[in-house]
Order: sequence, then C-alpha cells, then structure tokens
Amino acid sequence: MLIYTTRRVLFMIPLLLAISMIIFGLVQLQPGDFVDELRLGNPKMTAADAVRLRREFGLDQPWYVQYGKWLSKAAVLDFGISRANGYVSATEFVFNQRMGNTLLLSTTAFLLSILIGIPVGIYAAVKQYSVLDYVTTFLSFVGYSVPVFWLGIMMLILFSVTFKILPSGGIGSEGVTPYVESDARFTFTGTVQKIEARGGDGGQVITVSVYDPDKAIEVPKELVLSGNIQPAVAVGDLVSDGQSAGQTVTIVSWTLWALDRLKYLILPALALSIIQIAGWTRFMRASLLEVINQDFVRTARSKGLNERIVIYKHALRNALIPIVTLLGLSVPGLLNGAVLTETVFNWPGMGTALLDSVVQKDYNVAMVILMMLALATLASNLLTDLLYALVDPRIRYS
Amino acid sequence: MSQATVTTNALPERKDESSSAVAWRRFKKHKLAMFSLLVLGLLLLTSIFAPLIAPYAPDKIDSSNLYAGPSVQHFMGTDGLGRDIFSRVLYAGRVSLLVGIVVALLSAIIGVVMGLLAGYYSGQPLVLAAGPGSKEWTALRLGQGKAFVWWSVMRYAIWAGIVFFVVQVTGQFASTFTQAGVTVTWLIGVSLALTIAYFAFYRSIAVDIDSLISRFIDVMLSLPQIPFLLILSGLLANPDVALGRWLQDYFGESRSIILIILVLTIFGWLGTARIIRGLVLSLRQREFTDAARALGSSDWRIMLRHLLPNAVAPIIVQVTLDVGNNIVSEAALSFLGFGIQEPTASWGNMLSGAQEAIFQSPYTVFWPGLFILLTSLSINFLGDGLRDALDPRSRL
Repeated sequence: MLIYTTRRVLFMIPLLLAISMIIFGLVQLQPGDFVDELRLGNPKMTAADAVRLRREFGLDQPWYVQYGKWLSKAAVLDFGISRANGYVSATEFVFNQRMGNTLLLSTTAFLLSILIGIPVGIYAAVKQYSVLDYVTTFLSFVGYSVPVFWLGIMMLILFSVTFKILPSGGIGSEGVTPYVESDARFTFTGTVQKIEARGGDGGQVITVSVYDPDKAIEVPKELVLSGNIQPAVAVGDLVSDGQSAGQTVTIVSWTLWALDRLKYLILPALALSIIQIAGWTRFMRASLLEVINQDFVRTARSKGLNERIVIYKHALRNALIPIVTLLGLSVPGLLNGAVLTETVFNWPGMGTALLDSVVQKDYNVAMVILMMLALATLASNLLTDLLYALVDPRIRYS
Repeated sequence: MSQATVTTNALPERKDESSSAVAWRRFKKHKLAMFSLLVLGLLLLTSIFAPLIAPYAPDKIDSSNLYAGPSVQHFMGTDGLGRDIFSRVLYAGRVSLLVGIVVALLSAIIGVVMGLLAGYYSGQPLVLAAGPGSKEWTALRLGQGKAFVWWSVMRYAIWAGIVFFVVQVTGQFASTFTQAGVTVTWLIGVSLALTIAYFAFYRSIAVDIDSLISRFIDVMLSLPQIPFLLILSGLLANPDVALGRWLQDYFGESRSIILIILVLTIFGWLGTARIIRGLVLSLRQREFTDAARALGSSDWRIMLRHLLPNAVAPIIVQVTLDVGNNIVSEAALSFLGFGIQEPTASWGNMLSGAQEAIFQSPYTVFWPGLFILLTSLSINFLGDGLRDALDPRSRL
C-alpha cells in the first residue's frame, strides 16, 4: 500500500509537469497581455514603450522559453505577482483572499448534497416503485438537467428581489465583523515626554515634545487615546508622523457575524448543491438496488432477520462502497459549479478570480488557480483509490 | 420454410421483427421518454421555423420599450435593449440546438476513432522509432520488405527534426540566461537531444496507444472543465494565433459559433471514447473477430465492419445525452461571456448580465433558462428511454 501510494505520488510529478506545460501554453496564447492592459489605462504610453516593456518582461520570447523561466521560478514556489490586485504575490492573493471563500462554499455544498442526497437515495431504493420513488427520480432528473447559473438567478429573484429576505450577492454585510480594531496614530514627530491617565473614562494622554522650526523651540503636543486603547510607546521614545500610538481589539459578536455570513452562504451553497444532490440520489438508489437483489440479502431475509437490519446492516454497507469512489470524482463537478455560482452570487472566490484574471490579462493568478485545480483533482483521484482499498477488503494494491 | 411455420404457430410476428422495431416497441413503454420526444420535436420545429413564427427580428432594438413586461405585443416581454424576448428565444434555440447537436456528432466521430484505436491496439505498442540496435528493426525489415528503406528514411528525417528542435530551443533558452546559466542550459539541452537521438536512431521507441489515450482521457475527465473551456475559448478567439486568425478570416462575426463547437468538442469526445474502448476490449476477444482476422481482414475492416456495429447502441445513447450536456455547457460559457457573442442570441448569452436585469425585469432571465432546462431535461429522459430500449439486458 505504501509502495503503491509512493508510486502514484511520484507519477503525479511528470503528470503535473505535462499539465503545467499545456496550461502555460494555453494561457500564454490568450489574446493580449498585461502590457496591452497598461496601454489601455495609460494613453501616454507609446508603441515603443510597449515593445521595451515586453522585452524587459520577456514577453517577446516564444512560449516554451517563457515556460522554462516560469517553471524554474515555480519550482521554488514563486508564481509571480498579481498586477491587477495591488501587485501582491499571486499565491498570496489566491491563498489568503480567495481560497478560503471557495473552500467554504464548496464544502458546504458538498456536505449538503451528501446529507440530503444519500438518505433520499436510500429511501427511494427501499421503497422502489412507490409514488415517492417516482417523484424523487423525476426530481433528480430535473436537478441533473437544470443549468446551475439559471437556478441561482431564479433563487435570487425569489429570495432577494421578491421576498427580500436574503442578500443578492457578496460574502457578508459591510460593517459586520467579529471584532473591531481601533487604533490611534501620531500626527507629529518628536519625543514622548509623559503618559498619564486623565478623565473619567480611563482614556490616556500622551504628551510629545515637538520641535517647531519657525520658533526654534520644543512645543508639547498631546494625543488623547480614547476608551481602552493601551499606549504602545514608552516615555523617551522617538515617535514619528503616522506611527501607531496603540491599538485595541474589541470583540463585537462572533454569533452575529457567523449568522450574517450564513445568510450570504445559503443561496450559493444551495444552488451549487442541487446538481450534486441529484447525482447522489441517483447513484445511491442504483447502488442499493443492485445490492438488494443479490443472494446474500435474500439469505439474510430468509433467515428471518428484521427488514431494518437487512437493509441497514447487510445491504447498505455494501452499497456504500461504490459511493466512496464517487466522493473524489465529485470534486471537479463542485469546482465547475463554483465558477458559475460564484459569478452569479458575486462570491469572491477562486472562480471569480480566474474569470477576472483572464479578462484583466493578469495571467499569473490564472496559472496559480489552474495549477491548483489540477493538483486538487489529481490528489482527490488518488485519495479515492486509497479510500476504496480501505473500505473494500477485496481490493489490494501491491 | 421452417422459419415461416414457426412464425405462424407459436410466437406471432415477434420472431421476424427487426431489431429497430423491437427497440421502438420497448421505447414506447417509457412514457416520459415519449413525451420528451414530443417536446424535443416541437422545440426543433419552432427553432427551424423561427423566421416564420417570430413576431419581430431577433436584433430589432426598441429604445422606447426597455425591460417591458409581458403584453399582447411582447408575449415574453423585452430585454434591456427593447428586443422581443420571445423572438430571441426562438432564434437562440437555433444556435443552441445546432451547437449541441454538431458537437455531439463531432465528439462521437472522434470518440469512436479514439476508442477503437485504444481498445483494438491495447497491449500492442506502436513502434515510433526503430534503429539497428533493436529487435523491432529486424521485425520491421522482414515485415515491410522493399518499403522498409523509405519508411526508415522518413522516420529518421522526422526524428532528426525533433532533435534539431531540441537543440534550437536550448539555444533560445540559453540566450535568456547569463554566465553559469548558459552552460547548465546547454548541458541539459544537449544531453536531452543525445538521449533522444540514441533511442530514435539506434534503439527503439514504442508507445502503447491505449495507455496513452486512456491516461489522457483520465486526466481530461478529472479536470474541472469550465475553467479550461474558458481558457480554450480565449485562445481560439485570439487573432494572433493561426487557428484564431483563420476563424476570423473565414467566419468573421459569426465565428463564435464555430469557436464554441471546437472548444466543446475538445472535451466532448472523452466519454464516448472510454465507452467504446471498454466495449472493443471485450469484443475483440470474441470468435467473430478471430474469424474475420483468419479470413485476412485488415485491422480497419475488423474495427469498422465487425466491432463498430456491435457498439452502435451505447453510441446512440451517449450521443443523445451529450446533446443535452453540450447545450448546458454552451449556455454556461456564453453566460460567462466566453461563448456565443452578441448580437447573435443563444439561450446562454441571453442570461449574461442577468444579475442587473433581475431587479428591472425578472422575465428577461426566466424564459431562456426555462428553455435550456426543458431541452436538457427532455434529452436526459430521451437518453434514459433509449438506454432501456436498446440495452437487451435491461428488464422491461
């Protein structure tokens, strides 16, 4: 098992290399580059400037040369900077600002779909040919066929335009945070003379002696710290304009914040999970029906076991084995849907980041996201195979 | 004569029923599939005869009538430019159905060829290069006879070209570095070129097409498609790339339809190929394949005349289901702005920019999506019915 896993992981390296080469080629051959974007934003830029910039950034080289340079940097995890997002590193942008949101959305949708789809599938299989079975089968067909973005828009119309009970997009209300950071900053440069408590609210006052060049004397100036801000400087420190005098973190309400986030999460997660729920229902029903018709289930029934025990102890356990393989295979579907759902609900995740980066020709971000998607799907495939061996003792990797 | 007597006695008319008649009889039992066939027929007819049915031209802009609600003049209302939604939905149906069907057919052709190749040649490596130091060299010399010299010259020329390309790329790489980088690049490049040359000219290079195609399908199928479709459609829309320029020159404004067909086909053939490969792997073990081979049939004849007809049923089901998937994918891409471009209407691009429109007029976005859902749902039921009707193992 360990040898098998190691071999699979090692095999992923050339595969990732090949994928990265294809992705890089595709991304490089997109219409326009960021120099074009710069020219659009700056009419003073001449054609000669553009040529010079392209040469400087190596954009005039053939794609395979650029790929080699990209790869030699990517090998040490340097994926370049994101020019459209304040020139932060592309990995930082994706990991710190976007990945968490996408993970939150897709994990919620995944859990929702499992928690709804599998029980419904079991029920439909146990009560085969009942009215409820027909209804679930029909509904799962509908869920499977519905375009996820249209469903999202319909939900928006229903819940945020007509009933106005849920927000129409975004990730959280403005101003609702779990904690408030307040800080005070110096507006002058000088040496701290004294720090004293004053007044009834316990606010502190920092006195700084500031040199006045007009009168050529030191003038004392005061900075009043409000509330419970503790001074971060000591007497004798040299402080400068804009420096923080001290800050405090007040916890507002974690519950309110979480509820607010939940309010924004419900619609996108539901929209994303509908297609998955339909899939799980169908697979679970088919898988359980196949097992129920097998001999060992008939044996269990014929020796007089309770129907509940037959279904949940004997049949269901075996029917869940093929479902495990599908856990990993649902990852691409989730990521696919995430791009569309995030666009509809204006959710700042990796999907919208990818879309924006292609439109804004900020290709470093697109490379990071596409490579991460490839890695995630390869890893989930491997995990699926290993999980399969774990739950099914008949499967041995050697 | 004996057959005639049988039909008159025990089983009336069932025995000489053709297989398609059996399938039709079984299909008719699937009520939902029959109903779906009716719906799809209606959708196809309204799309084909859109110019006769539509009350307005699909791109007729009416600035005095923006986001109008449903009325006698505009049965489904108007959109943000005052265009009649009913007319646009009808015309969009033409584009969406056309894309769905064409992509499904193209994918089926590519998928069948790939599946046949992978399944039939599974376990038989294809010799891409053979040199005098390998056992393939002797086998080829004996097998090809006089043509062997010419084949060898051609093979060697191609491989020489590849080695030359590696050296050239190394040079281009090296020129972007300085000092030690240049030497390292040259060392890597030249040793790579020498390794290729050694195997191509002296030893041999053989590739198992099956594992190549199968691995490729595995990787492609496990990738989330929409992000990659986005990138691909961007690539083909680029007039600086040969294919993109060709599309622009020959198709001009309407090239987005051709473009989306190409893009969707790139991911579309994988499922069919995988199914065909599996079928061929089992069919090629059967006696009739051995018999055909013993009679001297060529590989292509066996594949097309003996293996393919046995795989028709799953292909039909797959093509049907593909049409639905393609329509939804096309709509998704067009919705994101990477598919069919305005002013050509497709069910997907009528929904793009919908987040703004929902506050003005929900009708703008309701109808196109409903048509996508209706088409895709009908096709899924139809595929389900076909599967039941064509698969002899399914109980009905």
